[in-house]
Amino acid sequence: MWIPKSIKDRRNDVHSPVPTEAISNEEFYPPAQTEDQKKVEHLLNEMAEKKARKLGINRRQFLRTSCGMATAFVAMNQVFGHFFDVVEAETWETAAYDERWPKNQFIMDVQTHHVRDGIVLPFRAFDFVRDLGVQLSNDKDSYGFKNFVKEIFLDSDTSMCVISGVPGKEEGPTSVLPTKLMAQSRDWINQVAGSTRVLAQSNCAPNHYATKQELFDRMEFEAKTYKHSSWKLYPHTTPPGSTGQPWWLDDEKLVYPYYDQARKLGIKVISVHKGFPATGQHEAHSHPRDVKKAALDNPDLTFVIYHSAFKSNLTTTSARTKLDSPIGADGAFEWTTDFCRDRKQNPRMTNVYAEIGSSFGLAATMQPALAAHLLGQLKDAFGADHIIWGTDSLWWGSPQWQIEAFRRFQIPEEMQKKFGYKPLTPRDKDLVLGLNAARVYKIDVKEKRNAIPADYMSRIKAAYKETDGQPSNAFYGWVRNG
Amino acid sequence: MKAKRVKLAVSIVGITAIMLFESYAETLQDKLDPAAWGETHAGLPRPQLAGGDQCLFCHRTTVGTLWQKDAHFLTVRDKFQSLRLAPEIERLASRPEYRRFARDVGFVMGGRRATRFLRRGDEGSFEILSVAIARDQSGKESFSKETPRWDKEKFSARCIGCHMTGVDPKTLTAFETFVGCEMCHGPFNEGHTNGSTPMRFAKKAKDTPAMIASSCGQCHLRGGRSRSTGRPFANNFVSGDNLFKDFEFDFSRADANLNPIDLHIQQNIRDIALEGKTDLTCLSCHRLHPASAEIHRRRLRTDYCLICHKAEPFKERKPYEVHSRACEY
Repeated sequence: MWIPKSIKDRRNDVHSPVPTEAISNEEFYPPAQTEDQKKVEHLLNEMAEKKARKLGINRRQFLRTSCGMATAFVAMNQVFGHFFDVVEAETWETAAYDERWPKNQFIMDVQTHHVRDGIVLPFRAFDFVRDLGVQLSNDKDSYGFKNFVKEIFLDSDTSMCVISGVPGKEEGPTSVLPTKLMAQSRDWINQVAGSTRVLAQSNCAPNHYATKQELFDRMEFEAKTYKHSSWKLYPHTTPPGSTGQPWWLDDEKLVYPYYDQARKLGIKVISVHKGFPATGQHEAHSHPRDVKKAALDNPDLTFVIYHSAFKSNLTTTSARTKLDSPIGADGAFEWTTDFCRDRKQNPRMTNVYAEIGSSFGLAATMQPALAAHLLGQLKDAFGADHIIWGTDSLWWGSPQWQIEAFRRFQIPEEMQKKFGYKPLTPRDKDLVLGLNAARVYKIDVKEKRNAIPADYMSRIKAAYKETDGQPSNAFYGWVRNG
Repeated sequence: MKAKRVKLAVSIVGITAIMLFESYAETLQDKLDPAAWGETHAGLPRPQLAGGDQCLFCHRTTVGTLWQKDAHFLTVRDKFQSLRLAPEIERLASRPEYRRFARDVGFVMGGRRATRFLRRGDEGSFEILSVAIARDQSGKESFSKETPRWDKEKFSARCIGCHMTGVDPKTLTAFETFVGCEMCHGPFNEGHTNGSTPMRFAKKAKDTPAMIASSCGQCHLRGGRSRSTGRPFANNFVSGDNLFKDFEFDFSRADANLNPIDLHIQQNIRDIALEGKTDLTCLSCHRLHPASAEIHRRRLRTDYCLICHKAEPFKERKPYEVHSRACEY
């Protein structure tokens, strides 16, 4: 059975700032905690206990500081090998952390979600889920808008974010995150901040309506009413009220008219879920094979491929602790390697971007070597200027640990030599963390760099920190119970 | 003398005729009216369906692990299977005269005995390629001889009802492009999650043999016709309905010289629908998820067995070929 990681952690007195278990965003079955992850958890607890005692605070308080975060990466390096750039001083002094890492880095997260306040995702309302012993009242608040603002803007360095669509129709009583809500949340935050901090997407997809006219009308309504910045598509899903049929991006009959309408409405960023084949019946439609033709046939559109087509087939053996590595001897893994191959064979696919939400987070915490392959192959095929930052938060809690993991992450030299990967430079990281998304969404970063520190969200954040506001270290996605 | 003989002959003929008539009347009395019970959705709007994705979220560890290989799921399948192009399309493309048609194929239908090719038409419709692949008993394949062309009408008029789920009776468009969960289990109802309203064919569901015969028969009883539409598939059938309220089928054909596959289905459904027998249904011998007919070996021998098996030695099967006029192979 599945249980929110935050509840399991509370029960087991685990307060790690970095998840020590694969957390499902509900798009894959969470594998069991691996032996290595258990070692990290154990080591981190020991180290944190000692350090906290010396600093005169308790372990929980310590783990909420930047020193606690640095300690987690030290523990991960000890177990997985040296993947994260962290020095011992950072585990003792907050100042050492402040000194080493950029302060005014522009970070734009294109994959954030919250859910309608007061709603629990539909399946959680079923009786059998209630019987799991999950405290749903906490759960729905965890995914709610208030917590979204806190985790994204107060507890992380995120400068801007895109509230990203989820599977389901764009409106309706069971819609978890309808387009209207994404637009409302965007407007609320931007008004409070006094600057543009949030963009929103639309859930309207080619298979949501039976006729082209209905689809076009709805697209027009969404664009004019909600003024979203991108379309979020899930080709493998068939939500209630849809035509019930999955589809391909390169379907000239069904989908090309959709592109024409998007073009006509002036919203030309097409965000597409690929990889993480979810729990449905149309796994094949999560494969990125259709990106190539669609992108080549529509060079004026920008395709942002979410999860970089990472299949996430990280599983554990029956012993439930040993990881079945999905990496081949040549470094290939499903389906990102296929995606990269298509890109390398088609130099004109420059309108395709690879987004790394959940893919990086999952790989970095479960098998950092896989994260190295992910970033190494993406950089090689797409270039660092075509990789886009996303975190899939709130499922993964506050995005801060992912930001820090990425800032510190490096492909080990041995892997660089063996597989021909290039190292990740500070410039690459700036591009990935924000500059690429800014280019896609036509954000003037220079202007933002001036506006954000002075806006009200920054002031609220400063006040929050002054009043001892601390991260929750809570992860709201799902893990195995037991 | 002659008059006496004539009288006797007339009497014999008369008595025989009366006996024959009585016997016929008795037979008529014994037959049930197959349309006497239950409901039909013929003429009503298509019910709201949730789609198999919703079902498989919860049933992921049971049916979910088997579904990708389930024959119902594969009735019409996407051009990509197991992440590669369907081999049937590759074979179609290998023939120069069909190559340009192969490029347009979006779906593959059928498999064991015949394979057909589909592409999307306008506004949710599907077009079927005139060229098909046929397979004989030994598995040898051959392409049909038709001139290749995309037929806009045929699939909607003849095939869609049994190869896709949730067919809208007005537009003849489908909700799912295969035989999905709700085709047999009925439209999703939330009550089934707490056991208050089980889905059809659930362990707790009280499906009568007549309901089972209707549900399976909606597709497996080949050769019938909807009274309301005239099409060779049931009109807006919803699992739990009485198929025969709108679907007419000539059961006298069940004794004809049919292939064993169709014959055993027709005889069983006839026995349930017309004779009121309840001892044997499709589910007595067939299991789904995973699909298996293994349990039929544990049944007591009946006349049904002899449809496929030889009387002596019983374990040997009679040689047969399966052809279907309805499905054109």
